[in-house]
Amino acid sequence: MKDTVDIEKVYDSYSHRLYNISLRITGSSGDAEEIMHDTLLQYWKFRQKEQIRDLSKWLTSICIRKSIDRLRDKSRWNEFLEGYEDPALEESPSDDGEYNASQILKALAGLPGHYRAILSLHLFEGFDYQEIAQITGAKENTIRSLYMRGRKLLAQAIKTTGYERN
Amino acid sequence: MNGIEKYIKENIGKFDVASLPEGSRNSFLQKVKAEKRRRRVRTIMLAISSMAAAAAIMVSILPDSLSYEIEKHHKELAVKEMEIITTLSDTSPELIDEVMNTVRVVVSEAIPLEEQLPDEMGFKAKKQILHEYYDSKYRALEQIHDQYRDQVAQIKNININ
Repeated sequence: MKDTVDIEKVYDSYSHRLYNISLRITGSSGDAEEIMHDTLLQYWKFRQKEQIRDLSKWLTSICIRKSIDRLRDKSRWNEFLEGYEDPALEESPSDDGEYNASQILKALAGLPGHYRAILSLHLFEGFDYQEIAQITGAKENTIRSLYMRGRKLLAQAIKTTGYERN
Repeated sequence: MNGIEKYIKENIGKFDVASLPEGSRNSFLQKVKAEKRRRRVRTIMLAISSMAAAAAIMVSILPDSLSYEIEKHHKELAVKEMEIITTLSDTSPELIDEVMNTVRVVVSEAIPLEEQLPDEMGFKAKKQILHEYYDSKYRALEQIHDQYRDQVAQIKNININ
């Protein structure tokens, strides 16, 4: 009974955050909910809980990996990364305009999965290119290049949503 | 740092805004419950299988002895326990615990009967007493099985309807 009470407390503390992380990466509410559940179930089943130093980081890391795996299953992630040729790095457009969170989230949700995942990991979870490369299994240069391109697409999409709003 | 990065970094708290789908918490707790049930059934089945395997080995090693008779009865009880836990596998963890506690009371032996039998008693007489003793345990398990099989069937009918 005690471990059920414990997992309920963990659920109440982390479910919302994990759901939002996965939602930004997968772009699907159903997938995000399932991944959040699986992440918390994995914690519940984990026998060496005392070895977890930072529960928030541990859960986030599991949630991100599961979200990337889901993208891999759904899209041709590996083929995309293997076939991706590094173009000359493009400068991000100047974007000193005004933003709001919902505008950014809406624009992010409209991007293709690869860009959405890499932007989410860098912008929201604070991973650098090397760490994203490790998580995704891609080359660091590829990630850097994808990020730049995705960043440009995001800025364009934000502008579009801004025009739509106006 | 460009505008978007700067905005996100300074307003990170504004981005976890999506609400969980309705019923998500209950759905998660159901998954935990189902996993607990699977875990409990696996553990019990493993324990029973080990007992049955040990009994099977004993039976093959020591024919025509008191140990042979005892292990033969233990094997029969283990098989019946397995049938009970299989019947209960779709029910709640609480019910599984409750029933398996009763089963343990029936099959456990504080002092094994064979140790209480006088040495001067012959093999045939001991065999007969053991048979009656284990037969009563077996019948008790059968009763438990019948009782909960009906109960589980009723629950399933209610769920279907």
